[in-house]
Amino acid sequence: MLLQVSGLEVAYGPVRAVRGVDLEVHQGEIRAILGANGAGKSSIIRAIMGLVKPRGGTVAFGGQALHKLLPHKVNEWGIAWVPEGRQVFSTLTVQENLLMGAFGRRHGETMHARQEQIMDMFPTLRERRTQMAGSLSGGEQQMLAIGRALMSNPRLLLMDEPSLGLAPKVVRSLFDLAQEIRARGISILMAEQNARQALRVADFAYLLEVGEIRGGGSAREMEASEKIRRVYLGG
Amino acid sequence: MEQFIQQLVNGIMVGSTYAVVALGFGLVFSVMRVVNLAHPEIFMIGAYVAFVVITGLHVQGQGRGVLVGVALFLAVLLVAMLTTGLVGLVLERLVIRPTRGTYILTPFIATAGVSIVLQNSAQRLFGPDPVRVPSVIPPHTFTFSGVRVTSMQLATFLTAGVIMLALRYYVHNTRWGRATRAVAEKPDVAAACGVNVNLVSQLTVSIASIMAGAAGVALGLLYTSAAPFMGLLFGLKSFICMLVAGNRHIEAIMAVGLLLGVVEAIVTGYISSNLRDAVAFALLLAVLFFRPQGLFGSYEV
Amino acid sequence: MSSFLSAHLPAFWVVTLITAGLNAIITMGLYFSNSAGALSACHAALAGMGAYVAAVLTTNFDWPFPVALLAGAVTGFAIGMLLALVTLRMNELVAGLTTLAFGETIVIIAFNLDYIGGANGFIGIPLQTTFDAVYPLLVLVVFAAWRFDRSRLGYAARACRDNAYAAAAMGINVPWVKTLVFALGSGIAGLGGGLRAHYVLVQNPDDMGFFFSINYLIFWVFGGSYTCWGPVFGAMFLTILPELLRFSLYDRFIIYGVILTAIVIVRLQGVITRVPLGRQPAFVAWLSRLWRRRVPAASLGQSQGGR
Repeated sequence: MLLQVSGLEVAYGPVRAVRGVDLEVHQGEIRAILGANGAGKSSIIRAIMGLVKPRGGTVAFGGQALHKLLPHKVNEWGIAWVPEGRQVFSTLTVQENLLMGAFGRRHGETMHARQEQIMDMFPTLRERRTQMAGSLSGGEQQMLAIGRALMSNPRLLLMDEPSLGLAPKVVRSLFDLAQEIRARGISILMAEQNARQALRVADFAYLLEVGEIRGGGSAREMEASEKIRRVYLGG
Repeated sequence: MEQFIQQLVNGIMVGSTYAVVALGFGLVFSVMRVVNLAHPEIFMIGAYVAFVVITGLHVQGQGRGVLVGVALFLAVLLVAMLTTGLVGLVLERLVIRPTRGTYILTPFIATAGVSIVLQNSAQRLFGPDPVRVPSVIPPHTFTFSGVRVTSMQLATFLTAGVIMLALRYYVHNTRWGRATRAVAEKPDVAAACGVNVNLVSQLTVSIASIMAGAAGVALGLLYTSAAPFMGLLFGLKSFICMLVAGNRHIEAIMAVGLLLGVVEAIVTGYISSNLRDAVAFALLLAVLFFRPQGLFGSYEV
Repeated sequence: MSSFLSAHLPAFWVVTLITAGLNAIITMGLYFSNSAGALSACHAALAGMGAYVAAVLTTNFDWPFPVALLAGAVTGFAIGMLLALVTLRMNELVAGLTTLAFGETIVIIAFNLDYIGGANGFIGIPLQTTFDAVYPLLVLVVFAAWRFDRSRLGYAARACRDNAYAAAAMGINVPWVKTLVFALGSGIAGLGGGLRAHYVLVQNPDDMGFFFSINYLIFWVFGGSYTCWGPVFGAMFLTILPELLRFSLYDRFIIYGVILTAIVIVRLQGVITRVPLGRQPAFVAWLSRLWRRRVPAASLGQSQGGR
């Protein structure tokens, strides 16, 4: 088991956003957290990444306890983050953004090779390498955000609402990309509102409602479930 | 015409120190969203360090050769920069780090408290009156086609210039400079990329403090005086430079600092020296009225 | 009251108390001004303008003191309104900085106006302010603030501060509220300034500068910017503290600075923290229970947050 989250509690002041959540991700899997806006998906992702201090519970990654670590340490252990809404560094160039991705785990030469690899994966980025990241389109920025996260050679990729704000065609290719990433041996935990696409590529999915896991199962099971069909897949 | 160019040159000399201190403010503000009110006092510390070192080691006097003079100047600079860098480190750890990220006034007031401590400590140690900081560089006036530049002015300008160029290089061409820019824009994302934000915070404040210290030495030697409250007005003007320039581009702050120096010199020379201090505020009002985000734009606050 | 105090306290303490009271009044002005989210960095200048007006009226034109004070307050009100209108469209930080620039400009103008004394200040002001004048007025101002907190305007102002868009969406006339509230606070500042001028007997351009405006801001934040008691506490504590530390001239400020910094770091929200208004503080509830023998209305639930 790669990632294990037990009894996670995240609160902002008196508001409990995440209540006793248990989830896991195995090596080579894509797992999705499905749920509506405000269900707490982002909070879970942020807690795993160390960006918000959980009020309770544990996060273990390959046996290593993560929940007390600062984000840069979490990154060092092999987890990378694709934030909600892309969040590229708009005042840095595309190339600089990619280099930032490898900041924590640079290996000199390997970094350069890695950059080439990523740009092979995303040819548009290669074209625009000296452009300011802020001038890229939404889809391109998403590519950049993912590429940046991959630069650190992570074992687990955390994706927070990757399809948000993207055109349907782009969304499709985005989830295809997720499959490609899995094929390269990188596991993915993604928080998604777009249940249809997520279930298309995920191996396993959780259902999050008001901070609690209300269900979970393999993608097939979830797709077949009556409730999911009704609420999230449009019947 | 000659007089105009003379004023221009005088203005650029002083303006370069405004720019250096303003850059320090700007750096800390854009990276950490903190207005470090103690920054001008760190500038003041630089000047006093120069005073202490020069008079303490009895190296004043200007009868030496140029090389020795310059070497001494550099030595004094080094000591001052180390001292202020250290002060900056302590300031960051004790005062800025606990208060950053909260309401914008909290670090403002906390650093205001520090500035009160520093000002009064200086008064206590050195008395409330300005002390004379003897120069170490042999006085020499160069004349370039009618325009007079003293050796100390030159030293000031060169110091400021080197610092500004070094900063620019750091920010744009080094790994940590890149990380600093990333943290300035999106600290969370930068942290998730492996950047130790606390370290960047320390680095930034230290760099800003080192710069302020160097500017303090330069100005102290230029005007041969150091006073406990020298940071107040100078700091305010530098702060205004930062506001007018916006914090999008480092070069903007540099340009505005120089601009302020020049306009002040021209106003002093041609209109009235009473109005010199009003220039900065007039500039601020004028610019903010038409372009609230500063001359060259700034990040979302 | 004044004579009672002078008889029983060393003169030094009377002076300190009066100064503390004056600072408290002016800082209460800040409470109003900043309640809608503005950041007035020229408060000392507003107080100073009210001071100059009141002083000139009593000294040069023999106006009665209360009327002159009122004139000073109206001056502050008017200028505050003007300033608020000018900064209406700016974002909070830029507006704050504009007030800063405004304050400094006023200082420079005052320096150059010989009618009001220029750099030497305006002197010859009659001593009109006593303990009896300051503290009742302070109580009045605090009472006004307390009522303000519970009034529609007060709620509207806080709504504007917390989220201007939401406030507008709820039908609050945001520009009007911001302007009015800022003007009110500036008027109080003018009042306090007038009082101060008639105590210190000299009004300098320097007293209107950034340094003093920052002082008032510090009093306001330190004491706790969310309740009407906060600024009073802040002003009085921070005025009296340096006097208590009267060992040496500089040491006391050093200690003052250390205390200021330490407290701000440790108690980030200011010393007197926000008490949500939907829920009465325990002792007030207890008091009203004693008074009216009735259980106070159920609280609206805890709501915290804020800065």
